[in-house]
Amino acid sequence: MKRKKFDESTRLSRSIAMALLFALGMSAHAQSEDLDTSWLTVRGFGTLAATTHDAEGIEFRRSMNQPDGVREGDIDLAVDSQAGLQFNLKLAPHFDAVVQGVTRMHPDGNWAPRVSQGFVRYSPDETLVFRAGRVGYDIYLLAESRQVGYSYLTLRPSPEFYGMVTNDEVDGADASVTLRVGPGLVRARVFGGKGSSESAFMDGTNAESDGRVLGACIDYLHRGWTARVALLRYRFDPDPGIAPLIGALRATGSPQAAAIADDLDRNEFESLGMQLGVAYEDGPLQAQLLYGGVIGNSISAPEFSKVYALAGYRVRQWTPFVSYAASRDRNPVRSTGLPDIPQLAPLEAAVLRMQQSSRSTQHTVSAGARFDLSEHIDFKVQIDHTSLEDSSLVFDRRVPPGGPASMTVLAASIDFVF
Amino acid sequence: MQRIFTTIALCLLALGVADANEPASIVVIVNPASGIDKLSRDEVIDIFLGRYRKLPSGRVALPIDLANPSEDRTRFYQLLVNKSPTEISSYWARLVFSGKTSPPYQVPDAQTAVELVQSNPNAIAYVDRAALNPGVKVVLEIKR
Repeated sequence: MKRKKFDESTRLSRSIAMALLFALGMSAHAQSEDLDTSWLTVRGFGTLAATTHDAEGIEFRRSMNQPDGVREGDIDLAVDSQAGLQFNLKLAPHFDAVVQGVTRMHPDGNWAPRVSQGFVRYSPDETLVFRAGRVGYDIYLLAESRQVGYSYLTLRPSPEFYGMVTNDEVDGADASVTLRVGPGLVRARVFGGKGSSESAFMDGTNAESDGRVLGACIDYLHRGWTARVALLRYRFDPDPGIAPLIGALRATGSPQAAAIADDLDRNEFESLGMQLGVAYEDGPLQAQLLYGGVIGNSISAPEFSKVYALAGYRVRQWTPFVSYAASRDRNPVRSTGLPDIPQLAPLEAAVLRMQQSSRSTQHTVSAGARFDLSEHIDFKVQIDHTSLEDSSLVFDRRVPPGGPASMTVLAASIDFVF
Repeated sequence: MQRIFTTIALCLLALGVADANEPASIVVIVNPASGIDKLSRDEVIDIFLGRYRKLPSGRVALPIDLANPSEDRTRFYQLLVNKSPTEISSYWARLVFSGKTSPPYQVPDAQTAVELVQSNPNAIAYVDRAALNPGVKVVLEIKR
């Protein structure tokens, strides 16, 4: 992984330019049928949340790309708060453009707004949709964005299920088609492009790995049911800074250390992700059940399985809910097997640190309630009891760090959309 | 015996009063030139929830929503998918901020909805049966 300044503006402007060229090229085929003649719509969303917890020496955060967490007993307004603004522009019949900016805590610690989506969409008949630019992809079962608190039931997306996701969008394109099959609908989607994964670490550094994303997703929808199978491949470049470590591991002459050097010495790393999910919404009842798995071709990429279950039931304006989420690493942390002498200790520490920075073995039981104040504002309260085994989703600042811990997180939020 | 008949008569009368107070059903309407005679409940759900906006005739469906606050709108979504206005708003927040699709075009009242359907063969709307006029075609009646 490269530790570098994120050159977002270049990548995004290139994507949007490509998208506009695509739109101009296709506009000759468009025909007008729309009822709404307004060419610009501005919408926004936001969440203001207060979060606290009780675990000494642990910093709670909701995802791997947050550089600061909540300390024991503190009331933090940053971890679960965010806001965004979206512009929808009609470019031509059947063509529109979407630009969405979001401000939240970024891996480098700043809150400057970033473009989270920016694409041109072409839809000749509403069943076929092409998008080009910066597009979200199908990580979340019912939406493409985890930033819009008002759109989901819980106070935050599950850290176990979504916290390891450090890349929400690709600079590229997608295509989706929806077909009626029997009483329901089948929607298939493919997407691909450049993606960058950003993570923040306990030592205050952050990293970005540039890569190439390719994915496909099939949904089946019938009345209140949504079922999904999604696959994702993420290939990313090795961090040039890893070469000295590889050389040093080989120089030790230890077969175990050399094997780790061979594992790290690649032209390209690859992670494969899979998700199966089913959601049911019928009247006051909401439920979701998801399973996900990620495998990688190196010890420097995480490998884990995860499950998530959620159920909520609306009673007038209140919707109480319970959820369970668990993430478990598939492989143990590998050691170099080098003798325990001071001269070799930094090598062993570097290899362990690399693996420990992407561990996620923990599980959480949550309960909470959403209260709809109006059609655009809700209030939520949520309590989570998390059992930590071996996880970098939190910052473990205990002395010495590591080992099991439990944590109770309490949070309240107000979400709004306009 | 007289008392029993009186009680039954009063009950029937009460039911009759209740029926008279029951709001008329919601009907889904299209333009007579739309090329369709009926829609299933599933098709109407898919059109109004932005999942599949195509009529069985092949035309693109342009759904029309009543702006809030509207009793008819509340009743329509309650009868169609058993969802409250806030749940529908939350549903649309998912899709709108995903950039996937747009919510139905909103009009201030049923009369405007009917007029739009009369003038556009792709338009589809819902109104209280009492607001019907001969220039539109009913393709689905939604009752409790």
